[in-house]
Amino acid sequence: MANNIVEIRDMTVEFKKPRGSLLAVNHVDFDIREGCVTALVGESGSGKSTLAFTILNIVNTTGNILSGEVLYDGKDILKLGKEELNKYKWKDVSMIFQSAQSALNPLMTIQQHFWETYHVHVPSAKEEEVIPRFRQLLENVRLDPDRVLKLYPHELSGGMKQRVMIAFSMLLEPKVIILDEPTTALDVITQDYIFSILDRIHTETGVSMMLLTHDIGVVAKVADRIAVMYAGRIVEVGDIFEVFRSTAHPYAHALITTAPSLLDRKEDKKPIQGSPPDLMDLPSGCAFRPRCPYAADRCRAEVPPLVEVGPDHLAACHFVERFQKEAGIRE
Amino acid sequence: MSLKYLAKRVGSALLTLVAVTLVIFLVLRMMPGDILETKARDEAAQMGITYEEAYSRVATRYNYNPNEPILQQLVRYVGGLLRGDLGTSMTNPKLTVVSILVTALPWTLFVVSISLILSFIIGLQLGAVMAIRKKGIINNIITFYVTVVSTIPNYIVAILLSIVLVYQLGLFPQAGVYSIDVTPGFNLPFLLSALHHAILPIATYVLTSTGGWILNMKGSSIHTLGSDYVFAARARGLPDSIIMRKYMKKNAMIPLVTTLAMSFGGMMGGAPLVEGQFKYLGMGTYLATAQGERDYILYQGLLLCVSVSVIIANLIADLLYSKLDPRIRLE
Repeated sequence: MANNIVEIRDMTVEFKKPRGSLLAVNHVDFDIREGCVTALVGESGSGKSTLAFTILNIVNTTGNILSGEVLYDGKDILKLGKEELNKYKWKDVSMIFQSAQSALNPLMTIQQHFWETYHVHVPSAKEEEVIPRFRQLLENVRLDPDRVLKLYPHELSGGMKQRVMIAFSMLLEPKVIILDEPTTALDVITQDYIFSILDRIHTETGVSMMLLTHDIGVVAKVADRIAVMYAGRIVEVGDIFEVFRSTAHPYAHALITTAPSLLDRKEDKKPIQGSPPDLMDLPSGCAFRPRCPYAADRCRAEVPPLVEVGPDHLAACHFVERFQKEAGIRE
Repeated sequence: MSLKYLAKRVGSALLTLVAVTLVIFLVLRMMPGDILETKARDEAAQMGITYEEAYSRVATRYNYNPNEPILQQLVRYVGGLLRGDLGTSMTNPKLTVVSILVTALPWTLFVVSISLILSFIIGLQLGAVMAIRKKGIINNIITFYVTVVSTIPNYIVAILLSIVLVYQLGLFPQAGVYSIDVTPGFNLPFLLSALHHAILPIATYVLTSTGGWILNMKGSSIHTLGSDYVFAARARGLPDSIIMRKYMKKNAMIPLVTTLAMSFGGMMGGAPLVEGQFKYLGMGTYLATAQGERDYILYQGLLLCVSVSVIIANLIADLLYSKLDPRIRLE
């Protein structure tokens, strides 16, 4: 088994809102394995972006890390001083944003962006000497460097911007790239194209990736491991085949089985009943209980812990065996 | 910047100029009250002559024929304009309007531009500081200052300053734009004297208008700080100094440039009370005199000059805008 390159331990992030505070991330442990693609799946508001932001210690100003550590290379990132932290960002872990469409300064050209970040991290560099590298990066994502380097963000199409961001994320040859819903707001053909580029980068460089998405189809295609998040907690995590073959949490099961495929009949598809919980007012016990067809009294009383249910496979449900039998996952 | 863009802007400025010239001319002719009637009535009473005789005397003296058809007046006026002739003052026929403008305009321009530049720069800096440090003593002090100052009209501040600094402490001259004992020209005593006379009007403007700039910049900066590209810049490990300068300030000041051009116009025309208080012989003082004396010809010349300044300021702002923001260049 590969080593963990990033380990998040006991992470809790609180957000203060006018009507109270909520825990977007609730005592979460999460690992990124070296050289693997680890997918983090969950609905909007499940806390997956917030969890990812803790890795770069860029949780929004209204957010507050209450507990936990982010271990990278033996150090707790959250304890680094400002300068050390700035050196670590992008050089060790970079990120492709959900909002790639507006992640670039409208007043700067692509080349100015690349050079600025490069120069901050490698102060001794000379611009003429690194331009060939910028060009190579853009060629890797099938963009014409002669044209694109001189352009301003508003002169790029959505797909081009996303590819620029992918090239940008590889600028300093990071060990880890966090992909926060990298294909939001793009059409399906461009989505597929972006994933083929990401897949190639992963194969060629062996960079570790953390993929945040709610598209289970994409996960099945590209991920090695999967973690499912619900209401600020990880409810199931493990090897992609293990989790898909012997799903152990009703929510993860619902997510996987609701994903449409071309051969399905629409009538057979059932949406997950109910709606995601209000994080300000979580149900007692298991947060998924109100929507869970298998819920029992115990689910109301205690929060299920994340326990081993198979090889490299953890789940947080009180009734894994009963659920798996009733759902026809296990004999 | 394309030549086409430049031509378009200059063209629209010229069109505005034509419209403004017509409006000023017509509005002044439509104003109620005939200057000759009033003056003739005074004259008749004082000199003991008949009203008719006094009327014809006054008409000759003021070089004004109220029975001339308005179209003919307009043609004469425009013809004069094209030759650079704005007519002569009605109350003082020895003075041409142009000669009055030549003495008044430079001083108002001097005071207004220095005041604007100072208050704009101070406002930009303090507004940015307030946006970054949302809490803290500096913020409270500035907020208090802005609240107080924004409720006081600038001429009240002018009165306060002149009472204390001119009449009680005698630190500044009571009237004029430079002392009579210096020779105008590019020499140090003259420049110092001009500055000495201009300091109080400038101080009045800066004290009263900086607050608006601070609040504008603060709002705009907070908006920019919340943008995706600032968040993404943090993720890249850029130091705060770069983020503030190249990401926040540069983007936040763009909408303020339009306001800058507009307030330039307001200050050029709205100065009578401030300039009057310091007996500073600029446009404002002459505007007040011309209006009081119903000197149509002088008044129309001064108004036209103010309008031209506004049009030019807007043109400069337009061109500057396209320099500052690459997104404007395409249009």
